[in-house]
Amino acid sequence: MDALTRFTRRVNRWFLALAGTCAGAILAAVCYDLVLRNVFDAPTLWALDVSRFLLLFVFFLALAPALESGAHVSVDILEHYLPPAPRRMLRIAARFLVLVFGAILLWQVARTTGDAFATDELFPIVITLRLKHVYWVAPLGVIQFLLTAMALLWEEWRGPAAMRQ
Amino acid sequence: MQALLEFSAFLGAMLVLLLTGTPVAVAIGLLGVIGILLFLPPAAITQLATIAFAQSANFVLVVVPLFVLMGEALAATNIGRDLFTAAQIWLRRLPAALAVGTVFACASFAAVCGSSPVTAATIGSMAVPEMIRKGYDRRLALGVTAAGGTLGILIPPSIPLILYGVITETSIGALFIAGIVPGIMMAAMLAATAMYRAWRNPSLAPQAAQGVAERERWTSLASVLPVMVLAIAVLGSIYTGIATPSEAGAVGALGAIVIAAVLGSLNRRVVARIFNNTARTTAMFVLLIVCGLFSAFVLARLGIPQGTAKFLVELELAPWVILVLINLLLVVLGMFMDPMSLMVIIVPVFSPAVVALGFDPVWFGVLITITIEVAMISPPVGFNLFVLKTVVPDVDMKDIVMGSLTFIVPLIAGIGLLIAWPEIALFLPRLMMK
Repeated sequence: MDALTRFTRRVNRWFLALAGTCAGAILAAVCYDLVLRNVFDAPTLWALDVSRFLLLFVFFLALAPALESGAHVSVDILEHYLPPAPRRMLRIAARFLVLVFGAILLWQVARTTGDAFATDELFPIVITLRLKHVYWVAPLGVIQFLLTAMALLWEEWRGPAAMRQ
Repeated sequence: MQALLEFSAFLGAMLVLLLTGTPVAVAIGLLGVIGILLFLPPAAITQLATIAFAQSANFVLVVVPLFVLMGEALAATNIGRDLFTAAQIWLRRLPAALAVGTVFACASFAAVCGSSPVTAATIGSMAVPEMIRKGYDRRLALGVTAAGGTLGILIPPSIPLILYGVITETSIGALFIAGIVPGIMMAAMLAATAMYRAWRNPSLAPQAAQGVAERERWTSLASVLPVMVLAIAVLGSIYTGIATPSEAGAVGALGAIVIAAVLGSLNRRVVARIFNNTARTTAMFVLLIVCGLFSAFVLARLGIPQGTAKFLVELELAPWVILVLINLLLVVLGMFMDPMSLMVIIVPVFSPAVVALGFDPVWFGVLITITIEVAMISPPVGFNLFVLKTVVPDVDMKDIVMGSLTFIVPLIAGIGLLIAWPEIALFLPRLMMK
């Protein structure tokens, strides 16, 4: 399981770097279109759609790194008033619920992505782009989310033992 | 009535999940799944993926990483410190000058940053130690900074207003423009509260005696200039129709990066941090929207928003009383929940009722944002209280909480003014649409 933790951390670093790059690419695409439209009166056909799909990449790639760093907002009010043992149980329960949610999300996005591959459909947009060429990142991001949730649950589970050592 | 009871059951179940420390988005998403398993055909669960793909590729939401990037880039510079210095110099003759300066520094920073915690952290990290060093009462210093930070979500650009716009399908441009006057009004009211307290008890805020050279006064404005230019560029481009809010976000983000580069605040590590934080915050925000809209779908299929609207409209109460009750509920829930979750959970249920009662959705968006400001400084989980504790660790949490409570009064007065005179918020957007 320690290998899983190390693996998820490493992959999360890469995913986060990629997501950050996609955020930069969104900025570049929107600015480029804005200049072309307002200065040269020649708006692009692709900038709007490309920035939308880059947002999808940012979301799914950064989902797991955000979980690892605790960026997904949560309420920890009860934790402060509990003794260590029930506090640990509460954390384990929370992390288990994240795991359950991740599994449901993976089941659903994998099904939709599978359909996109099976039907080979195009997006109903100006540029020619198949759904599958964008959607593949969703199961990938959610699998990483699920693995990160497993690693976090494991860390919490073995917490006191590790501290005793 | 049944709809309200069902919604109360939903809220109760959600609070139980939240108390375990489960991320809010996950808790809301799981409740949506449970709702489907218990009351709807199981096939409805496919909506989770449908909403996830639709919202994560929604052009309106492209604005989120751009405004987050703008705030992150500016937070990496010394602009917050410079704004505070300029406000301190220009407002030094007023009672509680440093506290008033803090409010105006927060208001100025809020004009280029859509996040309340980022505003409170950026200004608070220098304003609070400076006020305490100059003999200000700790509670006044902490309270005014926590409250000033809340202006970050009212003065555009504002992340919660974007969230409101997406959930209710209200124009984000109109919401941004509608936030300007109430934002300035709230800043003035917070400053007036600080001045009033110093006037009643001068020992809370000792008056600084030293003069400032004419040259130093004007030099201090040099740092304010880029922020003002950026804020005007962002809002001006929306107001004049040159850019959509998403494009204005790009203008702001690019401008912020250029300013940070010119000020020498960027290096490889800082750039990586800015983009990494942007990606993380975007993922958090989009997941919250996805799960919020998913549970809103389930609630809508169960007829809860429609039933609530019908029940409230048929009540023999004046519409403003219902509005006050909704706001009271928000304030109470805001004591236990973070502001964005509150928006995601409450808005889909009550906005149909508010519109049915004849209120303007743009105005309601601004009103709800001010109510969320109250929640942000209300104990026990007011977000800004914890942000201040993090950036000024050697202060007592009790002082932060007690100091902030005083500033809830002007915020509530602001809500009252906005209910009495909706034009405060609607004047500018209506002018824009003419």
